[in-house]
Amino acid sequence: MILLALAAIPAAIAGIFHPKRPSWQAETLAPGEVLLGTAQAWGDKVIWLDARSGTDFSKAHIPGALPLNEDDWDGLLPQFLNVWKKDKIIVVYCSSLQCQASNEVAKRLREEAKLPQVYVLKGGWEAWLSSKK
Amino acid sequence: MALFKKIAPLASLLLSVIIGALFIYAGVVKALDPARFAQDVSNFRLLPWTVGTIVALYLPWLEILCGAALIFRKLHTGALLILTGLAFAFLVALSSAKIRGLDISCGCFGHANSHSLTVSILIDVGILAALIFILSTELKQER
Repeated sequence: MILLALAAIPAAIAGIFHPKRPSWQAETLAPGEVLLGTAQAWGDKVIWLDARSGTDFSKAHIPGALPLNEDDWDGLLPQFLNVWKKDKIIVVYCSSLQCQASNEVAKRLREEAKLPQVYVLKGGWEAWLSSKK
Repeated sequence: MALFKKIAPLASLLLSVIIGALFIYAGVVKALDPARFAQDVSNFRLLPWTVGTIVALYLPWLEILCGAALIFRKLHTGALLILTGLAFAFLVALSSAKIRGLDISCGCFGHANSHSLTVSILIDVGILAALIFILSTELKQER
């Protein structure tokens, strides 16, 4: 009983002050969206696709990510399809929660390329950066 | 049998330190990033989000304290009972996820080593067996 009670003290402090404390409300996901933690838990099964501009991609990107944006769709798609395999899960990201590029790329992959298991990373590149702080 | 009686307390002592250290490590890794652990708990789809958040904040510290209690032999029996209960609860949660075909990682030791559910179940069974062995040895000694 003492241990059970003692553990509640740091837990309560963490709930108030911890910089990485969890939210008290579940994060809602739109259809086809995935949280970073979930995508990371998929491990090697994931192919990360960077839907930001080529300039942003060359500055920094998620390790192992491939560029695929609408500006150079025809040039970049074959490069991605060479790596893609049936059992892979595709996670597309753009710069932040507000950007639409990842939704557009994911939509084209689902509808035009008919690829299964295509997700959009909620929070995009910003979510990735926050997780590294 | 006599040899076992001699070895059992030593083995129990050694296992207490190993299992204690393991729980401290597991607790610290999760306490460093409770938001991520809350997501791991949620991935099991067993608890409402708010309850999962409480678990994510509370469980790592309980593991750390119980692990320390095992190593330093303070509140030892209580810690053993709590950890045995936790290991059993983890086993139920992991098995249920496996049966439901969820494609998730355990998150039991953070994400530095993301084991498959099957490996996590095997590790948990090993820990549970060790805890039961320590508990039974201690109870025999007390008699």
